[in-house]
Amino acid sequence: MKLILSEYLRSLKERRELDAILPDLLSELGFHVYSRPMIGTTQHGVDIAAVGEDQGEKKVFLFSVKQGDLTRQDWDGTASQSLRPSLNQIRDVYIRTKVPKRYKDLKIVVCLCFGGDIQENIRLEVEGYVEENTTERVSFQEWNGDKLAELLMQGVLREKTLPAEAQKEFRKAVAMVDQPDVAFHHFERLARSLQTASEPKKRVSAARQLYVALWVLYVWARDAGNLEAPYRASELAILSVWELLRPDIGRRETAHSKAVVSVFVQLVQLHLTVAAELLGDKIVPHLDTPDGLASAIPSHSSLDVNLAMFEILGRISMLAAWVEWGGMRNGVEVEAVRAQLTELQGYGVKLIANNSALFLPRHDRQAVDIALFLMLVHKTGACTGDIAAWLEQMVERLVFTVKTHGRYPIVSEDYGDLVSHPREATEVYRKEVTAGSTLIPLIGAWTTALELAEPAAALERLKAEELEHCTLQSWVPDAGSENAFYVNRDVHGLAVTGLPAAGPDLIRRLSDATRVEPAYRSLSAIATGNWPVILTACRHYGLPVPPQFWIDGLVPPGAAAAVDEEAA
Amino acid sequence: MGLLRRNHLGVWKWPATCLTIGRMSEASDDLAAREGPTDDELIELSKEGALLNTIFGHRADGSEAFLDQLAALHDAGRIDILDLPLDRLALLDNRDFFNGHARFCQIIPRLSGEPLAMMRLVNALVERAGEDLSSNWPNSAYLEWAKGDPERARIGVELERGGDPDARKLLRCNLEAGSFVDLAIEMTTLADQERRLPAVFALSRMPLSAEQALEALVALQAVVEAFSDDVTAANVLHAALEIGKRHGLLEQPAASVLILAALNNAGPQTHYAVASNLFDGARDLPAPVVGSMLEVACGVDRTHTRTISLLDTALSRMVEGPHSDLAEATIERLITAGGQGIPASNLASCGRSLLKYSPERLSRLVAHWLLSEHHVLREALETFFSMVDRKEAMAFTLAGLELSPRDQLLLCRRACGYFFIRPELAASILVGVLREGAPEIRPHVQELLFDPLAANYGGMAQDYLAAIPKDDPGFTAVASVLKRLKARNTALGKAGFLKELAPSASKRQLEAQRSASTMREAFKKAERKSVLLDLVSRETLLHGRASLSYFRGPGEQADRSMVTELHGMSYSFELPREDVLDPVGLSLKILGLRHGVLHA
Repeated sequence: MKLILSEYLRSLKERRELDAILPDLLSELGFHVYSRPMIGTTQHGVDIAAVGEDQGEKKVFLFSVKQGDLTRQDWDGTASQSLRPSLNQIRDVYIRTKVPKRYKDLKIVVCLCFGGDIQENIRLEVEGYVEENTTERVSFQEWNGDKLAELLMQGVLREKTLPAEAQKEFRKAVAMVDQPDVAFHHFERLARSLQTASEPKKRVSAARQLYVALWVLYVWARDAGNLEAPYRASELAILSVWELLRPDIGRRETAHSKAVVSVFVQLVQLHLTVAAELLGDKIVPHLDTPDGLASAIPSHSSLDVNLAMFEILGRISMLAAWVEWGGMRNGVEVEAVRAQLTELQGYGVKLIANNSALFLPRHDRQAVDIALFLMLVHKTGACTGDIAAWLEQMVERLVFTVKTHGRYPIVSEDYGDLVSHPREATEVYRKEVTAGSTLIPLIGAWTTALELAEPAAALERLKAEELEHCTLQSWVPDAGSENAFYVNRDVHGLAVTGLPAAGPDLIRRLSDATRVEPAYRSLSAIATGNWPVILTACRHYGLPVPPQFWIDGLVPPGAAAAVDEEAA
Repeated sequence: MGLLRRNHLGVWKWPATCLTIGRMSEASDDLAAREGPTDDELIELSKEGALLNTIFGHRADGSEAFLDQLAALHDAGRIDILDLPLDRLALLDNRDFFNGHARFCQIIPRLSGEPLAMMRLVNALVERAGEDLSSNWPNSAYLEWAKGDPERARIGVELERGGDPDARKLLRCNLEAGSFVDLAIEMTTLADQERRLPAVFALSRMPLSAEQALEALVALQAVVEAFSDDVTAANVLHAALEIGKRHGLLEQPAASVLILAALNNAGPQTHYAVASNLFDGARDLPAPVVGSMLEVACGVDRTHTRTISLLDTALSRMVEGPHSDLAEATIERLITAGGQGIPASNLASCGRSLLKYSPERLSRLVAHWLLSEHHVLREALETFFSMVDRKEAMAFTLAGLELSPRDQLLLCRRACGYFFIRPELAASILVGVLREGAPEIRPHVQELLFDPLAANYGGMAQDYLAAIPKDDPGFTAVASVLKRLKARNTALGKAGFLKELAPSASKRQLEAQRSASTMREAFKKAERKSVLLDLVSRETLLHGRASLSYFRGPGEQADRSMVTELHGMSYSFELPREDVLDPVGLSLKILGLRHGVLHA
């Protein structure tokens, strides 16, 4: 375990990556962190400041953090972030003027903190500096990767709060990071074991453990050049931590509740880091090449290509959702947020245009990714022509494949079923695998809203002629959803059935359904403005995106008022 | 003398054995243990009523010596081959029967005996042989036998007149053997079809003088006018063609009017007769006659597989002969025939012959069929190329085709659509158009050459294009396509493989299992269809790279060993890239190209 953590700490690429976990590490060790890392403000050499005990005595700990090994350049180079100038600033400015009054009488420990080790060729210089500047009040400590790993094990990941079994799952997840399915499976077991925490303090610990575990997984995965496991793990971690903080919603704010919320926000940040890295480094560079991404899938199966393409589309859309959420939360200008969303939507459009596997999904669950992207398009209001063409293609292919017993979307998402589909070109088989559909009403509603008369009519004909047996449906959360949604605890929600394949009636029905069942608004994530959590849950657990997210945009303004009046 | 004896080819053979139906008799055990039966033994077997088994026993000796021995004993009156218990023929298994059947056909012409007895024997053999292709061999043997002595045919005819059923069955042979021309002509007027048709048929086989030939044609004309049934028409047609061919009368009005009359109300029998006569000698028939017959052939019922099979072979011969154009037009009509055409897979021989055309002729055929409004014709072309598994490029040329630019482009699109899985072939058609086609369509053809062909296949199609020499008129256009392809491949190569998008090991395993299962099923299906596997024995080796087997051949006393080395066998094919990237899109694209339009 210590090796895993040491390697993780050594592999951190930026100083702020170490900053990101150090406050939680200190908190779990019993320190009181009174100053956290801030970007863009003068810290006078101090990245983190905390009060804690050292050899039975309460002291102020001032951390100056560097990533990796401490090299000559890091120690006393020309860079503004070199350690020696930072330490000088701490002595000259921070200790004299910035230590809070209540801690003025406490002794001070200046911690030279870095993920790796001091390189031998500068050790004497560091030791010389420490010896020369150590006083009665001010002392120095070296917090290298080895010590930090030890502290992680004593603190955040201590056996008392992270049992041996959970530690084993964590180790396996990290070890199998190049096999994302296996790594995620173990991470999921780790997350499940931590969800049982109920006391406020334990919930805080559990959230921090997940956060640190995700960081370690991410860094290892980054080194292995495969970010799949941490991406999926980060979605799950967000949902799991939301479950941990749910009991505090609507109650008086406490230190513990603040701590969990803080971890949640940091988790979202980490998720965005992973998603942005995955998208920016691996996906975006190839979006302009026709078939560029589809060709990059190491498989000879068209199913794998299809699944991967829709997965990417869903991830782009989810990133946009979190970006919008972050913008709103942090008061970023609307136009700036819109510009970011438009950029992400542009990526999605390029992805579709250059990878035609996206013209038709293979299973109904992929309707989630389609819905998320259509929502993004609707928010930006751009590229509607491209989207109309996409939907037209989708309808054409749906009709073609259904009629020719080809590779039409099926209800099962089991890989074995999908890989052998179509197993038979028979009516019986087709009936069995197209028993229900959320995809058809989804694209039916959007083709209707975009006034694509022919595709809408084609869907209606398809339903009447070939898919009469198919239960066209949508899904809305119900009263049981709040307790089950975030951790996929149980079957929940309400299936809205008997929908037409397209047309104004479809939109009206869906709109009605969103008003009939009020549970959506009382979902904690919705009520607190953290709506991307719901979308994350939908994608992660394969639940349809509730029409409440998108139907209002499809209802003509006059019609919406009429529906409201009718409902009233 | 040893236990084994050599046959006339010098090969050691098992001695003749005496088999009872079902199991060997004691006598046969005896005989099996030593050389073939002596004269005395055969006489004894004849007395015991076991001679039939000796002749028909599948291990019985078929050598000339044995047949001579039987004939000599029969002619000497020591055994009577014509007096065998014919009712026991039905009890013989097929293998034994057909061994003896062939033996009898050889021996019949050598035997002496009464015509009635011989006719009974011959008819019994024909009846037992059923619908086997060799069932008529005894009739031929009888004909030869009857020709050996004119009295035999005369007696046969007399017996027929007297109402003997065996003589009636062999009326045609007796008329022919005795060359009873006048009698045959007279009998063509009979109302009784069972007697009329043998007479008609006999006329087609008899040696006739020029005068008799004309007389026969007149008589046949009267027959076809008097009797409008399909069977009579079929027989008259055959007779008219035979007589006409032999006497050079086919271009005479008498013959052509008669043939047209016979073809007038063609039914299944006439269709069969047309196919059969075209098969036997279309080369010798004048074009108008062939044309009339092919016209009738186009009306063949698609469910009559035997006629279609015969017609297929006849037309395939004609494609390579002087009536090639007529044959090609007929094949086309048979396939298209008002939506009820014959599937191309039933005209496999035609397909093979058509594909042997010279490059110019094949280019004309390909262009004509691909540009046809009948999709079945376009599909037939695809089927023909598929049946012979022809993948390589053809020397396509537009010379003499006079296609408009629009048609040239349509041809290219359809070539891509129908020959998509034979990219080299499709590419060669496009390159042909690039060489000689209209300049204004060149960019479109280049686009097609790039996508769907070159972009989908990294192997053969690209190799073919890369091999086009610099002095080829199509070189510049092709080089431009290859340059574009290279740029695209470079761009695709930049992404490499993204680990994040890789399917998991368990998914790969599932896909591999499905793939293996599909291949296994295809292999089993191919095995079930294999003619070869029905003929050979099969061994499955669990270990090793060669097999050591022991066997004992017929006439051999000791086992022999044989080492058979294992040899590898493989078949490879190239999957189009889009089949992985977007199979549904590819299907739609191919569909669009087949219809001649490019799918968006």
